[in-house]
Amino acid sequence: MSLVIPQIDLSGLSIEDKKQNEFGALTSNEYRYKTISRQGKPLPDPIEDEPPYHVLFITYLNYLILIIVGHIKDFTGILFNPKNYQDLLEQNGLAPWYNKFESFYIRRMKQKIDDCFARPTCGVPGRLITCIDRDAHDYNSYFSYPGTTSTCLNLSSYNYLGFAQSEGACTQAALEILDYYGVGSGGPRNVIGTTDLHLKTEKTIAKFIGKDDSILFSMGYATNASLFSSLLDKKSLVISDELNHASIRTGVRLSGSTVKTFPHNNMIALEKILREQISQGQPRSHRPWKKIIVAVEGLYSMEGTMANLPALIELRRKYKFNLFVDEAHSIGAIGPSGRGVCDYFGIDPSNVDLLMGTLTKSFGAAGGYIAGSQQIINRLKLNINSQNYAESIPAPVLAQIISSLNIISGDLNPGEGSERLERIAFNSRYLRLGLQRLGFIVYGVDDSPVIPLLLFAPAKMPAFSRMLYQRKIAVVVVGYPATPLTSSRVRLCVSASLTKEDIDYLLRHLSEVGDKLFLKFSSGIAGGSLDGSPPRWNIEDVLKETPKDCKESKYFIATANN
Amino acid sequence: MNVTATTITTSTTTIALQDIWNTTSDVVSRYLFIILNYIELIPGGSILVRYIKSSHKNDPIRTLFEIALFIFAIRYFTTAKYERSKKDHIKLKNSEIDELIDDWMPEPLVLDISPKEQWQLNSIPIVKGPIDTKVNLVGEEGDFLNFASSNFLNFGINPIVKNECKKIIHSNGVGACGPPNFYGNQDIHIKLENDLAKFFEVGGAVLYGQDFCTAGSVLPSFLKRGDFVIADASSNVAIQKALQLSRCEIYWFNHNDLDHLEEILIDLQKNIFKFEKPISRKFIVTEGIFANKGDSPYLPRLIELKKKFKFRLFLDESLSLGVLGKSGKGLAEHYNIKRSEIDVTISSMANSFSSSGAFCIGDKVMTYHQRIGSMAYCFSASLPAYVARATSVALRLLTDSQDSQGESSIVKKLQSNNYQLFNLFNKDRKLSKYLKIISNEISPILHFEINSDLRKLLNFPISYTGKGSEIEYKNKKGISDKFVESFNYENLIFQKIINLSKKQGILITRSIFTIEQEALPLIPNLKIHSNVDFTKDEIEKVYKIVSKVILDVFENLTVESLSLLTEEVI
Ligand SMILES: Cc1ncc(COP(=O)(O)O)c(C=O)c1O
Repeated sequence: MSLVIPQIDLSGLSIEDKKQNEFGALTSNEYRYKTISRQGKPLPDPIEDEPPYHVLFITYLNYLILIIVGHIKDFTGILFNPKNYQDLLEQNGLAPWYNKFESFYIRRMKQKIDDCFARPTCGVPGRLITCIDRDAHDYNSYFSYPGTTSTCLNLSSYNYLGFAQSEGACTQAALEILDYYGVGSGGPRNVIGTTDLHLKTEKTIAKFIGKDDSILFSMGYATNASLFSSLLDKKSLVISDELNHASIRTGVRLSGSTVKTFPHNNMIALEKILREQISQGQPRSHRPWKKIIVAVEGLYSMEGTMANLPALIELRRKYKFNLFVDEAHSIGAIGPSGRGVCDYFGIDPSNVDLLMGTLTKSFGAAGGYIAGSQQIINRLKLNINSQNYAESIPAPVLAQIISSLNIISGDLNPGEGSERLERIAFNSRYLRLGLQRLGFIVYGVDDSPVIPLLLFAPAKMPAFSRMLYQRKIAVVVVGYPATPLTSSRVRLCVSASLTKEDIDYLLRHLSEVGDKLFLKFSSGIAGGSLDGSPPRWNIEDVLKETPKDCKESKYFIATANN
Repeated sequence: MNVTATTITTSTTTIALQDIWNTTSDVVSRYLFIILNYIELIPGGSILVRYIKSSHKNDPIRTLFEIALFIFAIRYFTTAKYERSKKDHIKLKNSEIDELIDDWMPEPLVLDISPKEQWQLNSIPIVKGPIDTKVNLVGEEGDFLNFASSNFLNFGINPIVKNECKKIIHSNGVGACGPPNFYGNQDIHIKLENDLAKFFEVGGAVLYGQDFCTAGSVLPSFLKRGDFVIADASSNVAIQKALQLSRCEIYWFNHNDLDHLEEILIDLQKNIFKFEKPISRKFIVTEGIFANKGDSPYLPRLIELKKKFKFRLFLDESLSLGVLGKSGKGLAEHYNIKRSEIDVTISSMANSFSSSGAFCIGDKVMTYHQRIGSMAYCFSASLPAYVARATSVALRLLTDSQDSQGESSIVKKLQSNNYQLFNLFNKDRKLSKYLKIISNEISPILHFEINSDLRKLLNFPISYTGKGSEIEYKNKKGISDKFVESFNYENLIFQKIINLSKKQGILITRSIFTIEQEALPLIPNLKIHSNVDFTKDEIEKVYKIVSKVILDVFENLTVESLSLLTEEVI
């Protein structure tokens, strides 16, 4: 048995099987749904279901036990068995790489369930994903690899539109461009990294989004991390949603501007901060702020909630701030024509100053972009750090971006783009309503392809992940510190590449696992129930009724009265 | 104890005090133990109880004092922020607030590109087709010898690399569609990490999606408040940003001046480190070949110093891997030093390896920690698999090119090109009247700066950035217009040289930086990049053409003619 992760050869598969594994063929035109634009109407405030008290109690108890046992083990371990704790102790006068306290959570909790994280995979992360099996030893301190694989239904990749493929128009384009342009990047964009293909991609993105121009970067994280220092200084203010992504927080910190955070999606709190900050101005000097940026995400990847764009642009009109929306998860995945939250809410993109997005997700490529007015993009071309110091996006990745964008907008393979859009919309709604009816607590907006299913107790994370892995379903479990302490969850990322039958399979297994792990404790206030009583449908009824019902918003109680 | 000392003064008060002392002592103890009994019922409470009991020691004053301190601390933490902001707060009526909001006029998010800056946008070269040693440019006839790219080993257009990458796109598609910790970690990435660890003989490697953000993610994952960094004062922006994010104590030593470094070390040792308990994490941060200068630190001495003063060494080898050492293993190999002596090495994969992204190599514990604690690793998608494979193949090609002595023929060829390029320009006496080569002969990039005498004549400042510079003032004052006239001129001089060279089929470049982001002293450079695939004749040609252009430009340059440059360059 090897301690090195094996290289897997998947070439034995027939082309047809491979295609089917990457992107399941549509089984019926019934299983499509065209998202309806909200035409400027905001979403109602989401209702978050609370778990029963005993669940919260068990969750806290869970942590308490973990913490106490962890500390006792640390204490006795370092005392009696320092050899095993060398990484935490000073060595040859050097401080440990990380200290005992900082790493407590990781060592004492995360490591216990490390077999559920960072599962090595191979091949395309499409409809199915092939995970490389591993056996954990010594409480996950190391793994060995028997050389086998498990091909699982993929609910974990950000492959929203199913463009993670190694067959089809995008792959063909990428291969052709690779042949001609080579594999990598020539250097920073302003030195020698810009090709005609870069400009073409930027124009294509800008057109798709509905902005003057756009600018590309080789990494989504770095896009945010370097954006804000190019726009702001210490006389500026950023008002940021508390759940904004780490990249935004890094970027804002680097800019040196003042930061205020508002509770997630709370527009009343945001307005209060705006009034306070604009009237008070900068601290001490009380001079007016030079610039104010409100930073939000289009679709929050841990919550499945969306920015309240109609309310935000209303505020923007009133308070004259600049609006930044990170569309990492929403571009492509949301809206009647896949153009993100503006499209979804039926709002003209000119109401948002900076539309940022990543190409790693819906487009199956890599990198990030910022779309904005010509004035902004021209300035960024000269002074954003990534443009002057970081490598540009390699050409084959650009080919993937251009071709996937053209498919979505219908310029390439007409009909394919709308099928993808309608399938992800259907799949998201079907799975969400199905889960609600089964009695799970799920968060987020009806149309969100990210569906967080709440587990609460941290001990249920590994149980859930392992049980589903045995049933050949790959899911992502997340807990503290990525979520609040008490709301550990499974994050299901729906893809257009899944068939309706895949979701049936998924619902069946989730229902069984949910029963075994006592996860069905929704109260019905947040959807799935017709009469307000806790929904506990049986699985056969769910599978029978939901594909039809999920197309009608009245069954999603949370938004029914809208 | 203080109390008893004061009680000695008068006997009557002594008795009274003694009484009060006894009763309070009794009362406090009694209630304390009742409370303690309750606390003990809470899980984990027994630890608390033990602490309180041991601190009480039958000394009620001490207990009261500690309770008071505790209450004060809670009050401080809960109210401090509020009160501070409250003091600064001006009470306004709603109508006044509305008026202020009406009046508030924010600055535009960015300033328009002024006519004086427009040339910068216009002069970005746009390559039509592949980026090779010969390139075509959009809007220009013919092809150009490309002396601007950092793909020193030119692996990006190598047929073997291309074929392997195509295979991967055939099996894995393009994007990885997820961060490494969430199923984005493919066997291809893991293989590259293993290949890197093997090639450099270290415990592990971690991949990053972009070179520029790598330092900014690696360093802050180890350096916290209270830790120490001593960094070279010519470090690149990526490192500057990394340190800004680290919240540690930062000291700068003069560029490549290891005596100065030692001085700082001795000073810190004497005043701080000697008294430390527990010891803090300490790093010396420098580069293999400096992006801003093209020179290198003397590594053996650095290793000696870091060992002596119990520091760790962080080395950015983005421009030296694949370039230095007999098999391309970088500055460490150049000085015959084992890679494992360098605690953290980072490098771009977009230079010698001609792919994209970056990696960090070092020991197992260090690299493992990044998989949990490094932001750009945890919160960003994995590289496209084919990009990872490109570097794997590049490493294999490097290894395969080694002879029995471990000397790589590819690297040797590049090094000889670097020497040739350096020597041709360095020997030219006429050039040295105007330009100074600041890079080393081992550098794959030749850096020129204008001679300091001439710069003085042209009224250029000693530095455009760093302490005392105009840009520092603008940043400090929050002035949005970051245009600096003389900086623009100095760049224009180089751009004119670039444009005139381009007319003769040669593409060279200059240092392109975001001046307002640079916190360390810097002046513009003219840069010529070497490449393994250039022939001796081609290098000869670049020398002949560029040196002639340089002379032409400078011979006619006066302070007065500077203002004409803007029009000439457009
Ligand atoms: C909101 C948000 N912004 C930015 C990013 C970073 O994108 P990338 O993975 O392309 O670096 C992510 C990725 O998870 C994200 O969720």
